[in-house]
Amino acid sequence: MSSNDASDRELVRRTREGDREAFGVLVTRYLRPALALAWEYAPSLDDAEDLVQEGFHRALRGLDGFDASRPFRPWLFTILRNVARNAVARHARWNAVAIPDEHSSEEPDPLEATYRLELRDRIEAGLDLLPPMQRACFRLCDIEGFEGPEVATMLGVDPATVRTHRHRARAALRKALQGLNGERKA
Amino acid sequence: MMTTHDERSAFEPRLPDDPGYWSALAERISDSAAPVFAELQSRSAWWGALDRFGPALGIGALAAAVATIVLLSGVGASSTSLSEPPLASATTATDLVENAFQPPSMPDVITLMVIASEESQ
Repeated sequence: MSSNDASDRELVRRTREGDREAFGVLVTRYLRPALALAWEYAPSLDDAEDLVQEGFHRALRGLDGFDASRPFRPWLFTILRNVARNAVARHARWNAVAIPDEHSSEEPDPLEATYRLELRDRIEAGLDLLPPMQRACFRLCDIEGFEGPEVATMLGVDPATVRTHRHRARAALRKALQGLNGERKA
Repeated sequence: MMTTHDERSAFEPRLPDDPGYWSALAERISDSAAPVFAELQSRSAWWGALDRFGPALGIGALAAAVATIVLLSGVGASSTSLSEPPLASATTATDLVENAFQPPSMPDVITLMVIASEESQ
């Protein structure tokens, strides 16, 4: 069996024995959700990457204390959330809203481009106004495409809680976008 | 349904799509973990040595503790020993109690250490 197919438990056991390749597989396996989660706390991708790196290193240090009979994923995300919360407490500027990176795209039509820019601004503004948990649930599920149960594990909450927060976030965003749709039709 | 097609296109994921980005980041995190692995290995080596010599170290620590008590007490260490039964020199009930709590002599302590280390092997 290759390392990529190995179970988390097996990879954890090998990592404990000093197998760096096994650790690398664990990193690759959980990198994407870890980065998505970290970015909910960090103002930029660079900061989120640093958080993820620190989270994985802290998990590695604490692996001896990890109960291997329990699932690895929730344990890892708990560590990552703690790392992120500590970082937020350390950096006052992280409380400010991060400006998203500009995506280069082909703009087909100036009017359409203007509309889309405004739409995006409104969405971002609407997202920023949401409570953090609603924003995280909506962004991770509806934008980044993670499944609800996975997001629940990432955030350390019940799947039903994620559904509730998504529902509320959608309602709030729908309200924020209604005005723009009306303006466009007019 | 909440979004139209136009609105959906505005929901652009923030996470990078490029597979090269992810492999580079994973590599960066794995590579930067090298000092952590070294730290863990040295820690486990230290604990391994401690674990191997644990019984002997425990006996040594116990013996040292006993010896310290004996040396600090300094009461009748040369005149009384464990080999003498307390009852032998006791003439009153008070003597009996006092003798029962006499500290062992140094030869007795050394004998105990030797016996203990032989038993542990």
